[in-house]
Amino acid sequence: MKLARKPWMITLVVAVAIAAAFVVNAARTPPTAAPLIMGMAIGAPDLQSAGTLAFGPENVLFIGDSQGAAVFAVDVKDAAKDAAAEPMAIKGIDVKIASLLGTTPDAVVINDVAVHPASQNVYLAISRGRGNDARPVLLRANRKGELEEVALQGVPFSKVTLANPPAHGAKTKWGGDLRRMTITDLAYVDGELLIAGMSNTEFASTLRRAPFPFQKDVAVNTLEIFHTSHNKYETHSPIESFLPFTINGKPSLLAGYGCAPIASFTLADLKTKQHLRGTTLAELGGGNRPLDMVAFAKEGQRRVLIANSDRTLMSMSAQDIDKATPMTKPVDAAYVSAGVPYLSIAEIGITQLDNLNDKYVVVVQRDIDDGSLNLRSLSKNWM
Amino acid sequence: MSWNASAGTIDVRGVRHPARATLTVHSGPSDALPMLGRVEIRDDGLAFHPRFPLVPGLAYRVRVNDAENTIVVPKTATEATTHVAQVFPTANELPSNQLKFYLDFSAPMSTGDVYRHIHLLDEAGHEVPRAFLQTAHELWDWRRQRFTLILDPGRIKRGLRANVEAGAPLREGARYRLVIDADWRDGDGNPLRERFSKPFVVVAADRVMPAHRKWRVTAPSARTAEPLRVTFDESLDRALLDHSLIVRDARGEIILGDIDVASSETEWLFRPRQPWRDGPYTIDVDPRLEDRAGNNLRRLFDEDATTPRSGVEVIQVHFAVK
Repeated sequence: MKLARKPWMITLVVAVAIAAAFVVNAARTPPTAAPLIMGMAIGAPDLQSAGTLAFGPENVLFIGDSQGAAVFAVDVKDAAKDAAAEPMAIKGIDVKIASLLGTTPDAVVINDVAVHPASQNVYLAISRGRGNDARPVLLRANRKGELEEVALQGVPFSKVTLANPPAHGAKTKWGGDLRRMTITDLAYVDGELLIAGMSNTEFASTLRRAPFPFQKDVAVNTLEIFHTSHNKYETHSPIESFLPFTINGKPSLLAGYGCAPIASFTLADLKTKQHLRGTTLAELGGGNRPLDMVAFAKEGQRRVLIANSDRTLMSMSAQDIDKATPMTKPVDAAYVSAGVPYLSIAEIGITQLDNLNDKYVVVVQRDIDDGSLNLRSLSKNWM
Repeated sequence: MSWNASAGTIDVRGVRHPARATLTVHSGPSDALPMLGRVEIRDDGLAFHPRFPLVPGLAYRVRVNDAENTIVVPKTATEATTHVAQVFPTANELPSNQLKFYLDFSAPMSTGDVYRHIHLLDEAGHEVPRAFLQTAHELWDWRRQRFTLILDPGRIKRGLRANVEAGAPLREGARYRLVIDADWRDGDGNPLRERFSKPFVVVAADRVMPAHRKWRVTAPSARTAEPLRVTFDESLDRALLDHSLIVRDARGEIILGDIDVASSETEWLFRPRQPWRDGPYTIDVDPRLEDRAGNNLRRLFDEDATTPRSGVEVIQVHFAVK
């Protein structure tokens, strides 16, 4: 057996990038249609699942479809600007959605929530059913808390697929490739859609970058961080959630990991290096996953809100993030937090989080007193 | 009025002035939102085409003007047939830093809340707490038949605080059982045929990278479709073996064939679709191929980052067919 040394990894990565991306544009374009934006065509996005949501430029809503290994960009035509800074709420949202979809609340899964930045309508990515009957549904709630389905037929859309490169030539005993990337988070930054994913085979952290309007190529970065709990060993843990955020004047990503470090990567590095090591800024404490992150400004100061699986809602200031030094020392015990300090906000059970307007964030929250699931607005005043 | 329903349509006949009638369908409380759907006006009544199929066994209250009736689409009685077909690794001796299990089911499963159904029990039958990495997004293959279960890597990596505090979830020398409850629902909502239990004993941690130089290649004979057999130096990750090895002929052309994995994932068998020809062949090995502890051909899973990397960028294994 010989060992050949060739720059194979580099070619492999390029091959992955090319094989992983092809763009669907046209379904049908009626001659009388309004001009289509961003390389879209009119049709019915063939969503197999509706997972992570993120708003892009104009009226574009990105919908992550892990089951179909794709991200859809849909023009939701929801331009009515709402400048009010009012709260909104839907009590018992799972029961209400179940009624609308004609099923039971336990068959309703709210996969993500995103607020349209102009209209303040709240978009919800839903799975109706958990088994063979599972269907993706996109819903919209207005400020009055009225729910409606967002029709996904005859809408302008485009799609980028994120399929694994084919398993060259070999058929498995299952007859196909069982690899799948689960999309954990999406964000649109400066003409690029950033897609964080988790593989069901390799334990690895991969960030894909798709130019938007979608084109042929998707760039792939592999990421690693030093784990906060040790200064020597690295981790390739997958990213659970991330947030574009400027740190010390540099456009960056704040990335949240299971168990539960927060690390940063600069966008400039993502564009120039295929493999990069992040800077670990905080340890939120073990036994927890950061579920969602948003940035907001209060009295001219930028802050970051973090919703957690097993801890309270947290708020960090940009100043503290700017000042943070890379963590290289272990924490003292299992649940100890360290690094960038955070304000622990007395709100728990939040599974989804987004900015509603200047004064409020909107959350999906499990009430621990009566077990109900509610869409609520929380004031940014004390955060 | 007569009321009939299938999963796709609710049919109400004998309605006076159907064009002026109103029809709503509720699955939840009466004050909740009516179900989405389209009402079709017919000569003698109304038809409701729900946006989503009616759920068998669930009561729907159908209201036409002031009349109301409850409709249930009967549930077809089905037997619990789905079962755990295999759990990888298949061996019953596992290293204490075992990283993943793959749970293979005989049919597609339901998603959501899966960790409730999976238990790691120690010898006394006590549950090992927080043994698994519970990701917010469940790791299924696209068929929903294979679930990837990751042992909490924070507890496996040496030196990590969680490892120091709680110890690795698996202790060398101890016996465990990986148990999957029968109440985990399959894709049709039925429970599993039976509870599944995989007993295993834990041996020393695997702190050695797989070494392709120690692999043994058993070359097939020319003009046969005998399997090419690669025997590894240790058990490797079952899922990654599906796509990590590529066989090429002397010109670099990919040979098409079928893969099988045997002997506790220490053997990779490749049956070509066309008979082998005389001459040299190469197996390209993706260096990201992992052993059971997540060590791949380039680095240890919990590599000391201060050691220089091996610099191996491609791995090729050569053999000749005669």
